[in-house]
Amino acid sequence: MSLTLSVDTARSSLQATSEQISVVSRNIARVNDPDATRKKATIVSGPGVGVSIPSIDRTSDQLLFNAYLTANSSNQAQTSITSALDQLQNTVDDTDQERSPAALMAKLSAALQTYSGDPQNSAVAASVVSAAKDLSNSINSAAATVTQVRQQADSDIATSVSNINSLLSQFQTLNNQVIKGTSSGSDITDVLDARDAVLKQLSTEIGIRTVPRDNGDMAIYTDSGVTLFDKVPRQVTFQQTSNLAAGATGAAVYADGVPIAGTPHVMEIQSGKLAGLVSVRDDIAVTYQSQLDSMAGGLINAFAETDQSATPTLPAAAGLFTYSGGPALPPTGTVTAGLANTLKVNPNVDPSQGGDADLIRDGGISDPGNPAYTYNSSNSASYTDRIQSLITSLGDSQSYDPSTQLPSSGSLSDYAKNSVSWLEALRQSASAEADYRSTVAQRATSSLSQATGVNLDEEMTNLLDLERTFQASSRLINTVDDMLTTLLQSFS
Amino acid sequence: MGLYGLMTTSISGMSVQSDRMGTVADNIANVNTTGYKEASAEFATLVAEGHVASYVPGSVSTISRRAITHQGDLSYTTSPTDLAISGNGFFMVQSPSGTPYLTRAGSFIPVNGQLVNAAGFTLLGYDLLNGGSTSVINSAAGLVPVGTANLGLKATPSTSGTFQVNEPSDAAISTSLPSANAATADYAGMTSIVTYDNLGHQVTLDIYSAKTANNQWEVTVYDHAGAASGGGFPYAAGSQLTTQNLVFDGTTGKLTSPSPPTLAVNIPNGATLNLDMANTTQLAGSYSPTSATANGNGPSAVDRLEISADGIVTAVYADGSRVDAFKIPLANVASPDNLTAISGNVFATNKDSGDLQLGSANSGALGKIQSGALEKSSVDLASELTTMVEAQRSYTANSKVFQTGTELLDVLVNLVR
Repeated sequence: MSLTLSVDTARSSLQATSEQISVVSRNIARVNDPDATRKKATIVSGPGVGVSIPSIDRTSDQLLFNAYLTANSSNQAQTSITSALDQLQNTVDDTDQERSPAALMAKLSAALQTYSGDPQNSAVAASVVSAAKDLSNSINSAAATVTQVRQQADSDIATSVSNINSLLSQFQTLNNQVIKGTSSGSDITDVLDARDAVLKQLSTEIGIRTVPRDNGDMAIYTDSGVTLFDKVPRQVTFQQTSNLAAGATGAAVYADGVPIAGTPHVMEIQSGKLAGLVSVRDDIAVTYQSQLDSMAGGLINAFAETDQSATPTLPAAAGLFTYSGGPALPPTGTVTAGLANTLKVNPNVDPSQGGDADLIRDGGISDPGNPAYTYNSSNSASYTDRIQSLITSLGDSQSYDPSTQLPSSGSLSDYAKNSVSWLEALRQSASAEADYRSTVAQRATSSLSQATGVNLDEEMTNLLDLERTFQASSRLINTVDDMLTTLLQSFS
Repeated sequence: MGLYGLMTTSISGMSVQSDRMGTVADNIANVNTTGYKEASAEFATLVAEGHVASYVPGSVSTISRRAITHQGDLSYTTSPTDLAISGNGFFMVQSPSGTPYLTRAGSFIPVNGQLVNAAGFTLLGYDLLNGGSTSVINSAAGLVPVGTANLGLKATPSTSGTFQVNEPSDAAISTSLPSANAATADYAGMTSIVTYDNLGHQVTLDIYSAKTANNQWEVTVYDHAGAASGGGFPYAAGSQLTTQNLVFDGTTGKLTSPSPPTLAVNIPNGATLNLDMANTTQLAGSYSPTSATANGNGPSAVDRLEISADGIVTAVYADGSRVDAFKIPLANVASPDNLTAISGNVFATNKDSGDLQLGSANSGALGKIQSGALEKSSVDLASELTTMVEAQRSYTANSKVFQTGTELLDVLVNLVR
C-alpha cells in the first residue's frame, strides 16, 4: 500500500466526515421543527479503499405516523363538533341568568298566575306580554344562532374542501420529487419530511389512509376508501349554500365524484374537520333547530284561540304567539321548519305596537273585534277563565315530533327543559370525547416525535466524535506529507 | 583498442540512464492522469564479439516498457458517468475522426448527447434499443456512440396492475346497479386508478363495486372522462369499459370467480389492462382499497443514465421508469502490455499485442465496470523518486568511467614528449 493510497483513504474519510457534519448541522437547525425527522448519514467501507456515505436516511416509523394521522383526524372532528356545541350552548346561557327558553317559559307562566289574581290591572297584563316577548326573543335568537352555526359550518366546509384540494396538489409536487429522488438515489429526506407534513395537514381536514407503493410513491384514500390521490390528485368538490335557512339542506361533499359527506352520501368519511363540520351542519344543529321549532309550535298552539260561537265555524287561530304563517295554526306533532325564527308576540296584544294587552284576558287577539274569538263576552274586568285556561294549556301535555330526539309527549316547559338537558348532555359527552381524542392525539404526537424527532444531546455528542475523526484523518495526511518531504530532501 | 571501447561503453551507459530519467519524468508528469499506465526502462546488454585473448567492452541499450495491465487504484467520484474498470479489459472509444481505440480513462461526461472523456474520445457500446445492433466478437463493427442523443420522449401504455379491495360483506344489496348507469346508481365503493393510453394520455378508470346478492358482487369500470359534471353518474354513452361479476366464498371471504382472478379493461386508444384481483376479499368491515394501481407512464424525457457493473446502460426517465439502452463491451487483446500508447491515454492494437476481442464486462476474464469511479494513474511517486536517485547515481558512475578513460588516454599521450 503506497503513500498516495493512504492519502486517498484519509481524504475519503475527510469527505465522509464533512458530509456527516453537514447532516448533523441540518438536524440541529431543524431541532424545533415538529415535522423534521432525524437524518442519518451511515458510513460504509469502500467502494475500494476508504469509506463512503451511500445514502442519507431518515428515521421514520410508518405505524406511529399512521396512528398520528388517525388520532389527529378524530381529534379534529371532535374539536369542530365541540366548538359548534359551545356556540349553541350560549343560547341556553347560564341557568342562573334564566335566559333560556325553559326559564323564560316558567316566567311567563308565573306572570299569567299573577295576572289571574289581578285581571283588571293593565300593567300586569303588559308584564305578561313582556314575558311573552322575552320568551319569543329568546327562541328567535336561539334559532338565529343555530342558523349562524350552520351557515358558519357550511362556509368552513368550503374552506376545508379548498384546503384539501390545495394540499393534494402540493402533495403531487412532493410525491413526484420523492419518486424521482428514490429512483436516482439522491437525498430525498427533506422532501419526505415535507410530504409527511402535507399528510399531517391533510389529516386535520379529512380522515385519510395512505398506501405506500414502489419507488416511494404513495396513494391517499379517505378513511372510507375513496381515492384522493393516485398519481394525480382527485378533485374534491362542494357547492357552498349562500343562505342556509332552517329546513334547507346543505350540499354534499364529493370526492372523485363520490358523495363522501352530507346528503346523500355513499362512502361517508368518519373523521377529520370535514366530518365534524358536516355532522354539525346536518345533524346536531338541525336537531336543535327542530327542537326550537317544536317549542315555538307548542307555544302557538297552547295560546291558540278557538271559535267561541255556539256552533263554531271558524278555525282555531294563533293567539298571544303567532308566526309568519299566522293566524293559521302550525300542525301539531310534527316539526314546521323555521317556526322558531319567525315566532313573535301578536302585535294586537302588544301595547308598544298599538295593541291591547287586556286581550289576553278577553280573547280575540287573532282578530280583535271579531266576537267569535272573544272569550270574555260579558266584557267583565274580573274575567279570569281565559287566563286560567291559558295557564292550564301551557302546562298540558302536548305531542312532539319524535325526530327531535326528545320525549314525544309532555308539557311544553318539560320539553324546553329536556332540550336544555339534551344540549348539555351532548356538549358534555362531546367535550369528554374531545378531551380523550386530544389526549390520544398528543400521545401519538409525542411518540412520533420521540421515535423520529431530533435529539439535541445526541447530535452534539455525534459532533464531538466527528471532530475527532476529522482531526485524526488530517493528521494522517500531514504525516504522509512529512514522509514525502523526507524523500525529496534526500536529493539535496 | 580497449580504452576507446570503455569510453563508448560508458557513453551508452549514460545514454540509457537518461532514457530511464525520461520515463521517470513522464511518469511523474502523469502522476495524476486518469488511466495512465506507468512506463519503465529495461536494459539489455550489447556484447562485442571479441577474441578469447582480449576483452572488448560492449554497451547497453534501452527497451521501454509500459505496464498496461497494472491496475491503478480506483478513486471514487460523484458523477455516475465516471467509469473505471476493475480487472482486465478496456473501454472501446472512438476519436473525433471515428477511429476506434482502447482506453482505461473513463472520465466520461455527456457532450451533445454522447459520453466523451477528457481527451475527447467518445465511448462506444452496443445499441439495445431499436432492435439492437449485431455484435462482432473481434472487431469494432456494430458499435455506436453511447449517449442520450437517440433516446427521445417515451410513453408506455398501461398493461398490468392490481385492484385489491375489501368488499364489505354486510353491505346492502344494490337497488340500482352501477352497470345500468343511472343517476341514482347505488354502490358500496368506488376506487379510481390512473392508467395511460398508447400516446401517454392519462385515462382515469372509475371502478365501482356493488353487491348483487349474498357473496356476489358486480365490478363496473367507467372512463372518468365520460363522468357527469362534478364526477359520478350518469356517464356519457360508451364510457362503460367493462363489467364483471365476482363470486366470493361465503366461508373464507375469498374470491372464487372469475378464475383466474383478472379484470381485463380495454383502455380507449390503449392496451388491454389486466388488473389482478387475487387478494380481493369480501369480509366484514368497510370498503377499503389495499392496492389499486397500474403500470405505464406518460411521455417523459431521459433524466440520466445509469451504468451497471456488467456494462448495461440504463436510461432513467424523469418519471422514474427505466429502459436498458446500451451495453458497453470491454475489449481485450492477447498481450495488453504490447499495445501502442497513443496521445490521450488511448491504446491501439498492433501485431505484437494481438487482435481485438470484445466481451461482456464482469464475465470471463474481463473485469467489471465501476460507475462513479476513476482509475487513477498507476504511477507510484515514491518509487519514481527512488528510481530517479538510482538513475542519477548510475549516470554519475558512468561519467566517472568516461572521465577515468580520458585521464588514461592523457597518460598515454603524455608518454610521447
